[in-house]
Amino acid sequence: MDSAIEIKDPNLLLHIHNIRTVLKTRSGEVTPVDGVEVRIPYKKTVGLVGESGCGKSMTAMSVMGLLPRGGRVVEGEILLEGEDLLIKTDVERRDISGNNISMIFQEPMTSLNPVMTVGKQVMEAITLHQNVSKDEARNRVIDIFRAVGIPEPEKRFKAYPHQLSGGLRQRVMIGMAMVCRPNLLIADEPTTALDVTIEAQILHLMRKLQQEEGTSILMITHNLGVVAEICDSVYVMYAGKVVEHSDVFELFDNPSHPYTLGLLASMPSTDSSKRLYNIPGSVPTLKNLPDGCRFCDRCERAFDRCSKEQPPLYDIGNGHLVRCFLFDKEGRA
Amino acid sequence: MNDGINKDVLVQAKGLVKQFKDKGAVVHAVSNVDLTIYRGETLCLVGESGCGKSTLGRLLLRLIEPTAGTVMFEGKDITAMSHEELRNVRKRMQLIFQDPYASLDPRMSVARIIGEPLRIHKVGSPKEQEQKIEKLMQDVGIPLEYKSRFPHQFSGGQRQRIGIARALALNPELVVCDEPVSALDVSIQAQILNLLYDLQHQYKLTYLFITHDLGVVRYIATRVCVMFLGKICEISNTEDIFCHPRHPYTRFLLSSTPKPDPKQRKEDKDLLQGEVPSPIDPPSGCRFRKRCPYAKPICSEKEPPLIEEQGRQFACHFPL
Repeated sequence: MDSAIEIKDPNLLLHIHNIRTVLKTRSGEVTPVDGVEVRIPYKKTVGLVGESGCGKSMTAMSVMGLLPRGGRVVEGEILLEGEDLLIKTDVERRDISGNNISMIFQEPMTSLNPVMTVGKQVMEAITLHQNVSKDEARNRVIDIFRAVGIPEPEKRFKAYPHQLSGGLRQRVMIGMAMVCRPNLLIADEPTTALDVTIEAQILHLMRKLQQEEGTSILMITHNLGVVAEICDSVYVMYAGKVVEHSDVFELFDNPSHPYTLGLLASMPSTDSSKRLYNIPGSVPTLKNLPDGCRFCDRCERAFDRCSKEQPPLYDIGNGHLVRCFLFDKEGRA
Repeated sequence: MNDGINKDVLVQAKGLVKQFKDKGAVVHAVSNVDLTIYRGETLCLVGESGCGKSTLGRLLLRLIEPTAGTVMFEGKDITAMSHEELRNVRKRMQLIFQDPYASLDPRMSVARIIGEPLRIHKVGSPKEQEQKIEKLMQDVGIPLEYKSRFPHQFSGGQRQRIGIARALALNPELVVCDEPVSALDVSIQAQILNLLYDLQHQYKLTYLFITHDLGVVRYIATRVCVMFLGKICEISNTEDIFCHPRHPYTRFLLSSTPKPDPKQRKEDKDLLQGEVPSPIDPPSGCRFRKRCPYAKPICSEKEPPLIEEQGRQFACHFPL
């Protein structure tokens, strides 16, 4: 694993290096993640944004080792503090991930066990990975419930998931994810099912926990508002590839990929009522990808080359990467 | 962006109440709501889950029976009508649903789905119905060669177009859109919102648009009605709601919405604390008071009435 040593960057907690994930479906093999590179520095929040089917969740599942049956990472490396998770055995990987990486999901109702009290479930997360007494674990659960803003934590300890509101359930999930003090929290659409006032509370809570615990966060979302609210840097994905990456301020100041521009222009904003831009057409299916740039069928600025060749990522300055031939200084027709 | 509405009343609801019984408890879904919808406008009902906005939408169409109160549609009280009479009025009011997957019969072709209202209400000859279906498909942007396809062969956005075509088949006056774009991706959402906007002008429609997304409200609404726990907090034209909200809840809804601009990151002071109280046991007085940072003793003693001031309505003892 020479390359692992070569690309090891001491500032990175997690380096998803050029991974390709394939899935077996009834109608053949598809590649939902095709050469994706994501760098997550210590104590930072990194956004992975795109529409359904762009591969953002599959990227997260590749990191977690939770791919559906028939799914596997066939290329690349997933380096956690420089160690490639993909060459570990299942048992080794469970140990490493269990203590270092936690994940929260979109739907807190379906990811909590309905017949177990929420306190017990969070306790289980502690006792599975750490060697502590029951009393100690119980106290830590109540502490974490208090930290994530659950009112009356002693009482809620004994509540079942259905007795809690959506916002409280998501707080339980965050508590469960944070209780082992992970280095990395992967949040897959954590606020999508919540009301805006609750969403604002949860985002605030995540930011607070990050400041206090120094956790890195990989925030997976379709909502550019959430990205602007909480992320330090952003990766925009489209049809299995990263199409744009930069620092969050740069991305919103200077969005450059036609897809990112289209996404921003099609978002209804509370600041203006002007007509929305709409990106024509819809996302190509993975079985039916264009030969050239994957966005070229929907792109108003596409030219000849776009339908023939796949564009690489061009660096347009300060680490701002754009996968578009419009930024090829030499080769523009 | 919807200028020139004549103040011609299409729907007028008075004292609407809906209570559901749930295991012996009473859920106060909609409590004493007065609401007017003018012809040609888009009235947005906005609020968080459980605030009663969908229930109110269904009450206005009398899809559910009110516990108390009346709904006048074009001057006639639909809450007092027999089912026979109601059927005739129903042609003039239609509904577009949130979930484009659950609201289309999977065993029907697109042409049958869109034509079903025409067959049920026996509008036109089979040939005329055929022409109408084709016209509707063109208007909503479904290619005619897809006529005999089935719902599962379409994407979410296309299905929503089919649902819209079905709702327009009988040339309705009022269309209630219940979260029609919430299940769609942003780029598809914009297509559908633009389509709904264009169709409103082409078909001279009045929309009651139910949504929790304030960005969508800003884009589509003429007037906005903000609800909290079964009550109306504030009704105003769109510009006023967004620029000068009078009810504290409206202001918190606005400040909670994440903006696509990292430079506008929220200050913590703008966070609304707590959760929506239970509609089974709503707080006394103002229902928002338990979450309201400006609440004073009077707020728990006396319910603020919906008052009108300079053409705006709001229910708060201490308006902003």
